Order: sequence, then structure tokens, then C-alpha cells
Amino acid sequence: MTLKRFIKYSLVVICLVFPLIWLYMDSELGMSRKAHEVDMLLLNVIQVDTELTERVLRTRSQLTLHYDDISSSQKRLHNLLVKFPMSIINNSTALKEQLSVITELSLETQNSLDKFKSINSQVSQRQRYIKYLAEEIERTSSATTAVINEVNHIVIEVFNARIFGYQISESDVKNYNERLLNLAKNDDQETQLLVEKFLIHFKELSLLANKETVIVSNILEHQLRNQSLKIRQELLASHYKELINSKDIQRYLTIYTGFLLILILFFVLNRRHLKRYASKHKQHSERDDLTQLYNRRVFLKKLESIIHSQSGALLFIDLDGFKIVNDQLGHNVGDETLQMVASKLKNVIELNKSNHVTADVFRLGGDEFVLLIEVQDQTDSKRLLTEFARSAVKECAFNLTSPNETYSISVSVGVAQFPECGKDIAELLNCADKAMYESKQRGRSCYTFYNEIEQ
Amino acid sequence: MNKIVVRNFAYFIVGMLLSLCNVKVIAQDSGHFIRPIKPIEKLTSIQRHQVNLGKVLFEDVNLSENKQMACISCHLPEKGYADGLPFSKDNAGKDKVYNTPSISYSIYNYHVSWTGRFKSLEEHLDFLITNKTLMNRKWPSLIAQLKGNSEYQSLFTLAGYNEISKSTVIDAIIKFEANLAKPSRFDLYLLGDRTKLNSAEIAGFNLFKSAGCVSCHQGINLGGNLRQKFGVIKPYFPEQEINTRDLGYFNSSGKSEDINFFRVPSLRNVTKTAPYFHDASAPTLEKAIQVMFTYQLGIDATEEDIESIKAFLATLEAIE
Repeated sequence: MTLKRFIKYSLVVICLVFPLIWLYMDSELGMSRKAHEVDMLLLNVIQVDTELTERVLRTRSQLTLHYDDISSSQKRLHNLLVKFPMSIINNSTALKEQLSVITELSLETQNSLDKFKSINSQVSQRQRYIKYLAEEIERTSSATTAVINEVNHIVIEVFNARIFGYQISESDVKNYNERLLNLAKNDDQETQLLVEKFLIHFKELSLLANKETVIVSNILEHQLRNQSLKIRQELLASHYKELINSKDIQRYLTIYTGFLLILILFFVLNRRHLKRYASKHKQHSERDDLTQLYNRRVFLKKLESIIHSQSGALLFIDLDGFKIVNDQLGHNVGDETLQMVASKLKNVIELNKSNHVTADVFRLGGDEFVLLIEVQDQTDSKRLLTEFARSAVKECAFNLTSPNETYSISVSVGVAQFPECGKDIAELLNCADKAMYESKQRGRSCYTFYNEIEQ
Repeated sequence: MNKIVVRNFAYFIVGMLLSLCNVKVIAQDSGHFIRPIKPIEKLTSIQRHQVNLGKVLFEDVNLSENKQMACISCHLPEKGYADGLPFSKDNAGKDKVYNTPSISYSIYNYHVSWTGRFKSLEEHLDFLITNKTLMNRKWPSLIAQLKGNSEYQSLFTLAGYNEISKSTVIDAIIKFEANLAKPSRFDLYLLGDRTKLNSAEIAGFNLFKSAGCVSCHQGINLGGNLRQKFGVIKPYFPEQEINTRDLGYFNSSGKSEDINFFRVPSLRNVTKTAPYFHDASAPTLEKAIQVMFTYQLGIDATEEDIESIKAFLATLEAIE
């Protein structure tokens, strides 16, 4: 099994195992889910409590006439606690105790709400009734105006107390009682009976109203909400502590870091591999396989980059008699010859190296080579170029000996200077080609400057 | 090169499929926000099946221990889902303690049963089925019996329940009960159709409000959401010979302040559910109205008043 395959399989295995590890961790994190469920319950209880208070106050100040709102909130509270999945918190007794406190409180709240509803309805009923009695007193022929006025005054007082939410104290009730009885002293039997009845119900009503106030103030204490908030805080604190103390979190961190490191390692390895691959391909695309010289593409690129800014020259080099060698001695010898010429041209560059000149050799294809020369020093350029051309011709003239015959190899060189011969690549190449051709005409193994050709 | 193209194409396809799913979900969600008016929705086929299943359970005598009793034995459809008797018989043939109340609008009640000791229909159903004097069943054996019946199995499956269990049985019966609540002429009147009530009935409604009936009989169900003392203004029960049942919610809570407290019953369908009160002491509606006027409101009602209230109460009958 190769390393690559091993890595591939191990990756697959990791991918398969990862969900299992995740599931394991999830179950380990069940504690926090529990806390979350309880938290949601408490939040809901708090919300219902707030809602209930609002509805109770609205009902009390007679903004709404029915108890459906309160009942629906009660139902919600009931359902919250009944439908809470108690099985979740089976393990922790502390939570159980706290929730049982909540349940008890909610039962209490439910009871006081039930009581509130019945007392509230009784109060409005009695209110209506004493108004009815006041009308009855008014209807009797014998009642004096003073009595009627006092009765009406009491009715208005009761209504005011209800609407503005204040209590009629016992001493007040007593005062009203005495005053009304005094006023009604001289009236006849019927009126006195009615007045007594009125007073009894007035007393009853004020008692009920006071009871209602007590219940409402009890509800306004928000016991349920305060207890829930307290438990929530405790829950959060204990949960945080547990998380900090547990070794689990360290384990998770280790596992995650491990995964991360493996991923980073794969990434780095892959990157190095890609880099090597890319440099290899670059070399393949730039170099000529046979002679290891730069190829035509690189030459054109380089020429393009310098032709406008620099001055220099192209030395177009063509082998003389190469075709015969190739044909008669075979391709192997031809290839060797080309390699020899390449090395010799490199030598030429080595020989003529100086501070003012930079030169490169390229193989354009077949038996054509090019020397690209940049010259910094303009005044001396002619001499330097001549130097190059001469040494190229000299270096590359040699004999190939085979058992039967001797072949002489030489080069013809055409020089085209730029920017004198033009700034266009095609034009320049054309010029160099012409100069080289001129050299061939003149008998080979020599060099020609393009601007010296007699037109 | 080809491989890369194929792979990218595959990613693209997968991505498009995923995004299509998302778009579908978003479109479904946004429907609720965009639609300005929500139509009244008919029962879906699953809901119909649930109601149907509830009905079958409601009428099946085999669910009781003596195989003679079902919910329908005491809650007859033609009597407004009460039974018209002062007291229904329990499984031993004895009279029950309380008069059987109507259940057609029980879904809107907050307090269930006469004393209102149950807070939800679920609890109450559980009580009725396991009560020794009524159905007298244990849940495990009942579930086993239902599971053994292939007809019930298919009914439960049709109704979309995954299993036959206590909660699903109760749920189906409650779905059936919820479906019994039908609007009345008075509802249509309240919703804006002023022609539905004639002048006498409207006068009755006004008397209902001004006399003070409305302080207890209020809300969507005209009652059912609070407990109130029977005899607010005048004590109703003679003190010497008081029955245990007349103690009301005191029997459950044990607090002296709950003596004579009963759930305020709903007035819907009231014309169909004679006799009235927890002890069936009022055989006719006139008598019941009379009692309410005297003991709850302290008013000496005239014949016209009672007739007027009665005319109003008749508008609360469900429209068939």
C-alpha cells in the first residue's frame, strides 16, 4: 500500500468516525440541554406571570368585562408545568426541588386568581345591587331628599373607589352608617327597612372590595416571577461552574485541536507538492529539451521587454553544413553537434562577459540560434558586437571526423542592432535574417552587420 | 481537465438543489406574512379522521368495564349532549351525585365539571375513564384492547396518530368534542348581522346585561371561566339540611371560603339541557331564571323579565 492510498483511506475513516464522535459529545453535552429546557420553562413562567398581572389589573379597573383572558393565561401556566418533560431532570435532585417550588407557587397563584375572579364578579354584582336598592329608595314616596342624596352619595363613592382603586375603610363605613340611620330616623317603616338592607350590602361590598385589593396586591408581588428569576440565576451559575470544572471541555478541545492539526499538516504537504510540480512544469515550458537553452517563446518575451527601453543587438546564428551531417551521419550526431554548438555559444558569452554587456543565448528551432545582447555603453557598442560576432564565428568552426570523412561545421552570423534597425520584433528578426543570409552569400563562416549591407 | 469540469458540475447541481429547497421553505414561510386576510379553514382530511375516530371512541360501549357504558350514555346528541335526566345512573344503577352537564361547548370552558376541580378536559377524561363508578378501566388494558382491534388500528392510522396510547385516545375524543361547538344566532348577531335577533330578544340581551347576569355569565362561553357562590345576595341552601354536594368546591379544596362555590356554567344550548343546576332542582328554564334573579341578583323579577331573558337565551342555541 502506498503512502498516498494510506492517507486517502485514513481520511475516509476519519470522515466516518467524526459523526460518531460528534454524537458522543452531544450526549455528553446533554447537561446543558437540560439546563436549556428548564431555562425556557422559567422564561415562559416569567412571561405568563407578567401577562397575568396586566390582565388582572385591566379586569380590576373594568377595562375588560370578562375573564377569558385570565383563564387562558391560567391555562397556559397550567400546561407549561404539566407538559414539562420531567424525565429530563430525573438525575438532578436540586433542579427537581426548585421546580417543585415553582409548581407550588403556581398552584397558589392559580388559586388566588380563581378567588380574584369570583370576588371581582361578586363586587360588580353587589355594586349593581346597591345601585338598584338606591333606586328603590328613591321610588318610595316617603323617603326624604336628604336620605336620597346621602344614598346616592354613597353609591357614587363606591363607584369612585372601584375606578380609582382606593379602599373605603371600616371607619368610613361606620360614619356613613350612622349618618344615614340618623337621617332616616323619621321616615316610615318601608324606607327604614330598605335603608337597612342598603347599609348591610354596602358593608358587605366594602369588605369584598378590600379583600379584592388584598388579593390583587398579592398577585402584584410577582412571587412566581421573582422565584423563577432566582432559580434561573442559580442555574446559570451552577451550570457555568460545572462546565469549568469538568474535564470534558478539555477533552473536546484536545480532539478538536488534533483534527485541526491534521488538516493543517495535509494542507502544508499538499502545498509543497504543488510547488515542486509547478516549478518542474515551468522549466519544461521554457527550456529546449535538447540543448537546455531557452526556447523561442522565452526569447520573444525577453526581446519584447527590452526592445523599447534598451539598446543592443540580435546575433542570428545559423549552422553551415548541418544538413549534410544530419543526413549522412544520422540524427544522433546531429543532436550532439547542436549540443556542442550550444555549449560553445555559452562559452562565447563567458568569454565576452563585461560590465557593459549582458547576453543570452536562445535556440529558435532547428539549427538556428540567437544571441541577444544588451549594451549599456552606446559609444562602444560597435566594437563589442564585433567582438561577439567574431568570437562566435571563431568558436563554432570545428571539424567532425567520422571513419570515412571529415565534415567541417561553421556558423554564419547576421547582426541586427536595435533600435537602429527598427523597434518591431518581426522587422528586427527579418533584418537579422537578411544579414545572416548575406553572410551565407559571402561564403559562410563570417558575420555581417545589417546596416553595412550594400543595398 | 475533464474530471475537474465534471466535479464542479456535480457541486453546482448539488448546490442548486439545496438552494431550491431553501427557496421552497422560505416561500412557504413567507405565505403567512404576505397574506393579508386569513380564510376560515375547513377541517383537513386528517382532522376529519381525528373527529371521526373521536366519535367512534365516544360511542363505543366496549371501552367500559361492564360493556354497557360509553360517553354517549350520558351525553346524548339530541339533548344537547346532556341527558335530560335529573341524575344519570352510574355503572351500578345508582343515581350520580351531580346532574350531567352538556359538553357541546366544553372546549371553551376553563373549569371542567360542576365544581370546577379539573383544569383541563384531558384531566377530566382521564378521571371519567378510570373512575370506579363509571367506565372503570385501567389504561394499559384499555390500550391493549384497542390495539387488538384491527378496525381501531386503521382508524388511528388514518387520523395520523403514530401509536395507540393514552394521550392519543384522549386527544381524539377532545378533537371530537371541540368539533361540537357550533355558532349560534347570537354569535352571528355579535359578528354584525343585526337582523338575526328580533326586538324582544335584543331587549332580553339588554336586560341580561343591566340586571347583572353578565357579571358571571360572560366571555366566549357565557360562563365556564370562574367559580361563584350559589346565593351571592341571598343564601340559597337552607342551613339545617345541607347536602354534601351543595358544599361545592369545598369538597375538593377543603377551605371554608369555598363552601357553596360552583363553576358558573355556560349558557350556550341552555334551552336544550333541562333540568338545571348541579342538583337538578330547576326542572324548567323559567324556574332557573327565577332562582338566579332571586338569589344571585336580589331582584324580584316579573313574568315579563323572565320571558325576556328566556327569549334571549333561546338565541344561544347552536345552528344546525
